[in-house]
Amino acid sequence: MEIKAYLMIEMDREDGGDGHRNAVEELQAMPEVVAVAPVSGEYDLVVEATVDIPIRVGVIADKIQAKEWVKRLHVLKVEPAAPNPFLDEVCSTPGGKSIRWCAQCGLCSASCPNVAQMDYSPRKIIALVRAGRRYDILTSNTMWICASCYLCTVRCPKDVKITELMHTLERLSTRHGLSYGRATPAMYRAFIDSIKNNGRVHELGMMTRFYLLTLSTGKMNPLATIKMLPLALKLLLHGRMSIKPTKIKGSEQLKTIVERAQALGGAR
Amino acid sequence: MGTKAYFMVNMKKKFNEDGYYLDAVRELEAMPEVESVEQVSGVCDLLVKVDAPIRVIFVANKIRAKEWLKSLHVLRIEYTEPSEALKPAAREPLKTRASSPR
Repeated sequence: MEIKAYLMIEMDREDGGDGHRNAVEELQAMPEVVAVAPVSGEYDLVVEATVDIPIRVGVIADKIQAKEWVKRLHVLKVEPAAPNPFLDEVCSTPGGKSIRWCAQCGLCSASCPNVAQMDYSPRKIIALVRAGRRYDILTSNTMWICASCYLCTVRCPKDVKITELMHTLERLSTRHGLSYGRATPAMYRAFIDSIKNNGRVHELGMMTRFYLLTLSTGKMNPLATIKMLPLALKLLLHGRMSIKPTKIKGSEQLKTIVERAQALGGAR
Repeated sequence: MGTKAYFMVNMKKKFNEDGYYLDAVRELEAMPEVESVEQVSGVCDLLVKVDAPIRVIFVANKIRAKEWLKSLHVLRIEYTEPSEALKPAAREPLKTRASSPR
């Protein structure tokens, strides 16, 4: 395992300007040294070093301390990084790694046509993912409000795949059971079920299933179903909607594809 | 390219527990100017590398406003010229063509 350390060096001032450059070159020649940064402040040089075993940090420190131009040396050993499992989870998804490049410029939030309805703007969502606030993010409505217009992705100067991040968050929210009662995931589920059974959308079946899924949570107005009835009747009378579902050819193959996608990590 | 610096951050003792510690690291990581945050053992608790677009002091003041901060030392990274070996070979100035008499 690689161990990282920073060595903060205060130099003997009597050496003058040329000695400073020689010191940097001397340090850069050491195999363990990754980078040397001349700094102004309490110290003169910051040396970044990596070693394979912890004891080697002390050996390098002694080696540098022995140089005549070193007045004071402090070792800062890097401790293992704070775990952020949520950030790791998001980064492991396709396109998820790109959120590490975000510069928080806010162009995504400024471009989003639905930002006014969101709990957190896309810029805030990225900051919260980095901060590991799993619950705050997965219970927010941001990803469900996203219209997938890709304006944020197209305009992002750092190439962050924001729309893909929104899809990832939708999936994670459903997988962790935090999307319960929301209309959008219920619509997705009703749509996928219809596709799985018939190979195409059966409007009557899909909407019935959608209203059953949302009504059971008590968050949807039951009158909304009645309001849709005149439209449904018109569609039925004009033959635009059938009462009986019709199956497409090869619907079994489509069902297998959907099931395979769900097994690979899609939200069920 | 902005001004780069290392900040040596010390946290107040009462905040120096696991929960607060991680929150502080994440707070710093969420700042756009912060390049990296290293949790270190030694003369300070955190070593923060920043790339400030204008002046380092603005970023330092932002961090100084945090309630968990005990002390912050700024080490501004100075620009150095590359060593002789890395410099491109010196080129002779182009000779101007002698003007031909018309």
